Amino acid sequence: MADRKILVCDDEPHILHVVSTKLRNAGYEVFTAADGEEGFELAKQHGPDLIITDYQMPMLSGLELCAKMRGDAATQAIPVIMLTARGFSLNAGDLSNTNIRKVLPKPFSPREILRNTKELLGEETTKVAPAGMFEA
Amino acid sequence: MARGIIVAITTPTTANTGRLPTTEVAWPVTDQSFAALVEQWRKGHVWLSLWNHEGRVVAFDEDAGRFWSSLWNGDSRFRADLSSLACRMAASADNKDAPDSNPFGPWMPDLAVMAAPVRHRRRIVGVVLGAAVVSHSPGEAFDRLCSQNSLDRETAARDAQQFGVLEVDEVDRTHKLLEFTVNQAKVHEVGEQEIEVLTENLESTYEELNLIYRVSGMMGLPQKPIEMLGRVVAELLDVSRAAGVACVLTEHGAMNYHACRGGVPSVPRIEERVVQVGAGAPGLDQVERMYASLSLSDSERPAHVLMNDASQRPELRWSSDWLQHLLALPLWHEKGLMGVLLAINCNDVGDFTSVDVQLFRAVADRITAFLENQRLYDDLADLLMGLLHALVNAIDAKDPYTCGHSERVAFLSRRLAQAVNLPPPQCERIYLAGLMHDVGKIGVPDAVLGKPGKLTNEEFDAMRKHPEVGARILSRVRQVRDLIPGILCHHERVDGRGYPNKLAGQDIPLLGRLICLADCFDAMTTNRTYRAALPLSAVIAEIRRCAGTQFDPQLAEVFLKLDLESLMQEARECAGGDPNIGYLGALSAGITGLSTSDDGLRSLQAARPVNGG
Repeated sequence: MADRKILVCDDEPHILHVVSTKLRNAGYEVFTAADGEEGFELAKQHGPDLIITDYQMPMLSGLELCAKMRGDAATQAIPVIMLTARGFSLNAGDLSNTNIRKVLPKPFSPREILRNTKELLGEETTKVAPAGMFEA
Repeated sequence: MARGIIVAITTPTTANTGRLPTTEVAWPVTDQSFAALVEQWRKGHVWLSLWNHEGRVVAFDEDAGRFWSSLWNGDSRFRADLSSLACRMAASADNKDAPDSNPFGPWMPDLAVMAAPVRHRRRIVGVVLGAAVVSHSPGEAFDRLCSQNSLDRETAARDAQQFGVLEVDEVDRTHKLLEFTVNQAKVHEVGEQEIEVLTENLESTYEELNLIYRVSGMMGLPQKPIEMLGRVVAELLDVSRAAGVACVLTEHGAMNYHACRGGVPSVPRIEERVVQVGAGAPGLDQVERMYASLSLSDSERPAHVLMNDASQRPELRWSSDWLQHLLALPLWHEKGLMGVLLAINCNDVGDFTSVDVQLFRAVADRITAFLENQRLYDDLADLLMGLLHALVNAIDAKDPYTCGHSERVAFLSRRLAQAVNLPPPQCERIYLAGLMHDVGKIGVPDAVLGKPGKLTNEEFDAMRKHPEVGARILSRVRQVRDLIPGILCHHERVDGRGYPNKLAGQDIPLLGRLICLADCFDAMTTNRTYRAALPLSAVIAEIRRCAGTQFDPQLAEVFLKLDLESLMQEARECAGGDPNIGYLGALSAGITGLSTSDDGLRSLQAARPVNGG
């Protein structure tokens, strides 16, 4: 697990802190970005195993970030967990055009993020929810 | 950790929230930030060391070259002098009576020592000492320094020049700068620590918030309280610090669900009263015994009972082997105690605190509200079902031969519905429809209903009105409107020769076809004014004969595959009051309504009959 890298993007510092602390304590190497633009640069630079990103961010939104990553050979395969404000929903097109595997509404449970992270990285025996079971 | 720094500092761990730093260390300047300071100040020709308030060195610049390392490692007069300086500095509670001059040191003017206190919570917790050679041409003081520390003067002077020399007029400014940067480092460290603590608090707040959301989402009616509680305690175990979580319902609390219509309520089994989860959960019996040991007083009604010394309590002596902490949240209701939520033993070091109490309190309040709602709901359901049964019994009583008929038809209809694999809520609705199918007979004169011989045409017409009368009566009741097709059409025949509307085949609502079969079966198997009960074999032959004319052939086929002998017996037994009726299901299905189309039967061919048992 120690060599697993995760990029966390959120413009709200407290979310960044909560998520990255939870993941660091679980043994992951964590990079943080305060907006989608920085997130994209870090994604290209570090090639993380997973990206956890907010939906609404300045410069480049979470969805734009995912679309941009999809278009770049270096980042197109990286799975994404998206955090959204309650009530914000993504349509099927958004999901099929990106690598978003899971959508978690805010306020989220940090344990749930860790659980989903482990699932997506194949570190738990429990099955990853199949596409289509999004709970935006 | 940076090379060249002795680490003697332990930063508080993240688990350690709000705890004061130990007096052993010069926290809040950590090894990392001190290492960064050392690097920068070495470039400014100043050699740094960090001391605790007792004059014990915590860290120092080990990489500063030969001059400082030979001074430090010499006969240690230098080290002892620095230590006493640090002590004096720390002893001056505030900097007003700072020792000697500032900068100070016994080797002025050739070597200056600048002290910068590390303050935390208005106390000096450590001192950073910065030492620098000040003179380009060292004099007497430098000689004294060398001889005190057994250094060769010439070599030492050369080494000192190599490390770098501070100009005399820079000393004051440098000292102020040192104080400033030490303070900045400390402010930064404290800020980081605070963010860490806040992050941790925020994290647990998020977890708790999500717990409350999830728990709230679990409290939809209707459901068995014990099942809901099972899910709630599992969530609490996940989020709280408790090693075990349990919930006990009092008989009063658990009884709510227990249908006790017209009878004495039975005492629920322990599995229906107690739930527990977690490695710390001691077993259902033990949980119940724990609850009993608490002897919660109805007159005092404590909001919670917190025992972090449970093993010392005489009333819990029996559990002292395994019970350390116990937090109990009684679920009070205006009429008494409905249950208690228990947190058993704290997972973390330490005890249960008001934070745990608050979390469990919030969940306990939700449970109390749920149980109360459930009780009201059950009361209403009980009242409604009681009235319904009273009504249909009154109608059945008009004809002594049809006593219990409606309840048997209700039972048989539900069985048939289950046999064709209709969803359980629909089966319960069908029970209600069966129960009320003859409600229209209230409009049929008693003389006609009880007439032993053949009916005249007029009498027959009066009799044939009962489906419409029943439908009309029920049309005023919104909650049962979906059942009307069953009442209206239970005398239609698939060959189109029934009444009142001569519907045929699939035009007859499924509900009508179902009740028709159940109704006729019960009529044939019981005594009537006009004939005695038929033997079962004759009834089966009759149903087979009429499949496709009077009865839906597919339904008839499924029905005949059931164990009719025992079905008949069960129907008779339940007519006195069906204790197992799923009231809750029956009533809640009204929200979605009963599908009166054939959707549920589309795959009837494939549907396997469920065994009658």
